[in-house]
Amino acid sequence: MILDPSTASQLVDAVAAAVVVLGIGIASTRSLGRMIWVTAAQSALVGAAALVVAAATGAAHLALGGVLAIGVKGVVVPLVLGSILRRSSVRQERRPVVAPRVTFVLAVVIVFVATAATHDVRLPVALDAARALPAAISTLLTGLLIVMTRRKTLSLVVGLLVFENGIALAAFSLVYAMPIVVELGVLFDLLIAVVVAWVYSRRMLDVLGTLSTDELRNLRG
Amino acid sequence: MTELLTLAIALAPVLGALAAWSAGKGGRARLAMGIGITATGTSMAAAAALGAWVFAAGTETAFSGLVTVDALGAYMLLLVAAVAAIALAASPGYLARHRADGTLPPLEEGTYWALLALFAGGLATVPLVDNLGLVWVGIEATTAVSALLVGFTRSPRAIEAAWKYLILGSIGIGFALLGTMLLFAAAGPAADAGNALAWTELGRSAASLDPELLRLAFVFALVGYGTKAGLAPFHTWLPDAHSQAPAPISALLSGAGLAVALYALARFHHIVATALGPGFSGTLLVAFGLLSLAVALPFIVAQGDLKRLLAYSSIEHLGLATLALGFGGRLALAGLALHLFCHGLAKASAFVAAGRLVEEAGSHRIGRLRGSLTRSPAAARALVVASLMLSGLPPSGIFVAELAILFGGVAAGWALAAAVAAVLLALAVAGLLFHVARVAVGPNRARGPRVSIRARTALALAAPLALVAAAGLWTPSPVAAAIAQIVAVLGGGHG
Repeated sequence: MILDPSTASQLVDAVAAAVVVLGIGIASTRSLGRMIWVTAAQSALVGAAALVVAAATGAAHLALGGVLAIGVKGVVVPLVLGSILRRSSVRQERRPVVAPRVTFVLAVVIVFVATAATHDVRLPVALDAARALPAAISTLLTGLLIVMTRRKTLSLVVGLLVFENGIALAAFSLVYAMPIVVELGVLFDLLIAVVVAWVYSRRMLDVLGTLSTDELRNLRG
Repeated sequence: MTELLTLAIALAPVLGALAAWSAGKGGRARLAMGIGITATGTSMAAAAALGAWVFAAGTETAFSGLVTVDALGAYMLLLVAAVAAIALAASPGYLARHRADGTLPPLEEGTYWALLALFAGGLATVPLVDNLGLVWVGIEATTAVSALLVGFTRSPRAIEAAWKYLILGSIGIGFALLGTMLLFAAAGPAADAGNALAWTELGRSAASLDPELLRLAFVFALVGYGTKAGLAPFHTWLPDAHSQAPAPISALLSGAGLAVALYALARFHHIVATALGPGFSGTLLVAFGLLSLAVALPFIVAQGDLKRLLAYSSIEHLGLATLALGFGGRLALAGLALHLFCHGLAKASAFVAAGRLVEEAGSHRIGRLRGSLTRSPAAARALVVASLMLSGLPPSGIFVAELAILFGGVAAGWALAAAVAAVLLALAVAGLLFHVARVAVGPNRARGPRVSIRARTALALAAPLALVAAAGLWTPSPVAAAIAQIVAVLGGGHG
């Protein structure tokens, strides 16, 4: 026990709030480069939340999970996405389904709704971090919002990562800790999914000459 | 023994995939094929052996409880092995024809065999593990691998289908992870983290789980695994992926991939129903099963694309299976056990036969495939027979299964739902058979010579269909005993 529980819950609450703010930022920018790196920062914060919980509860494998999350989602994945971005000529989400100004408002609304809806839920957990559950649900929904309102393949992958950060925040700060094999498997799967997305982004560049899912409108009915 | 078989199921595909991939990249396509068939075949033979062994000798555990195979798991192992055998038999021909017409990306044959081995091996690993977290990991891994197979041909449409599959599949399965975590939380902080997600343990301690969290967990699992099982309204990726994938992959996705996702949902349902009674999760399953039947119907009736027709038929059949799971009761669950296996075999054969017809005509459009019976008699006959069975006409195991599910529904107090399902099924029969009849008969516009198929392919098409037909006529006593064991697992604690 390096941290006492009340300091730890305050820290987790602060980190959770920062994760939400970054999520709103990702939903309201057009620049693909900025989206990738802000998402990396968000992922690193989620990993940091795991480290805080680990320090407070002495769960060593949770610390390992946090370090791996920071390494994989904070460093490796953004580097992979950055390399796709450099290969393409696209820098901006030019024509999203909904303007970033509107998604900003929607993202803020999501935070309020998620907070109100989860106000009374009490999970049987070690730490009493009251903001973590609303923050996790908000982040998850913000990720869905990004997936639904963007057209560039890279934005969709970013949306998926934000969605996944919401789930990870719930896992690390609320559920206490999944068994270590499960945590490792989850991270491994995420890595595979991003690699597959990378493969397909490259193929789209080669075959369709674009990174925009506008071209993906052939399959109907 | 169980340890050995488990290792063969899970590791042979991984080692084989590495070897096949590097052989393919080195330009040695024949070697890659040999490795791919050997590795996948070894894994599937081990799966079938373990499945049969469990039915004969009872539940097996290995690796200090990490692996537990009960009758339901054994059933899934046999199902995956049988469907994978069909996909394996159809693959060399598929690759050879695409090599000949230049649509196969160069040096990619090894990649195909590697991914096929990983996909089949992954599907067979899911029912082995006694941990719902690892079940999730396995299903998510098969999603990523099969996404690569769906886009294997690299046509713009295939890339589109694979992309949709990857994004929608990942989001869907994310919900399943949340459901798994909530289930973990429902066990409370006192639970031993080592086996808190073991479905054996959760089934035993179900009464002490937090009911609120349990309900929430089931809803998320239903959305997540429902997406992977192709339940409406989360099914939108399915027709794209199943129609664009190479035919043997469509067969494996549809015949076994969907069933494995339903397996995960069945484990959740069992825990929740044991804790709270079958009312909550059963009602949800019945609702989504009926919705899937209703949503698939118009797309079957108004379909213009042969492979999409079969894909929507899969949504319909998985809807029916979900309905059976929700009904519960001995009769409906016995129907479910018969149904998933027969559907897997018949649908896999239908996809392989349809794939042949589509390759020969160069189009998926039903209008352009007319006259297939004169152009390509063997494949067209297999498609017609498989479609008659998929429609639930006798003699076939699917006919018996559908009757059992519907009557079982009535017996379990779901008379109205069973009646609605019966009407929807009857309408879908008309749609499916109308389109398949158009493909089979009619003027043959193509000028090419009649196409004959090799004896091996004919056997691969005929054997599973013969098995499905036999299942409708006669139930040998070991099979009846096996079905009773599966029902006991699915219905334990209620009904």
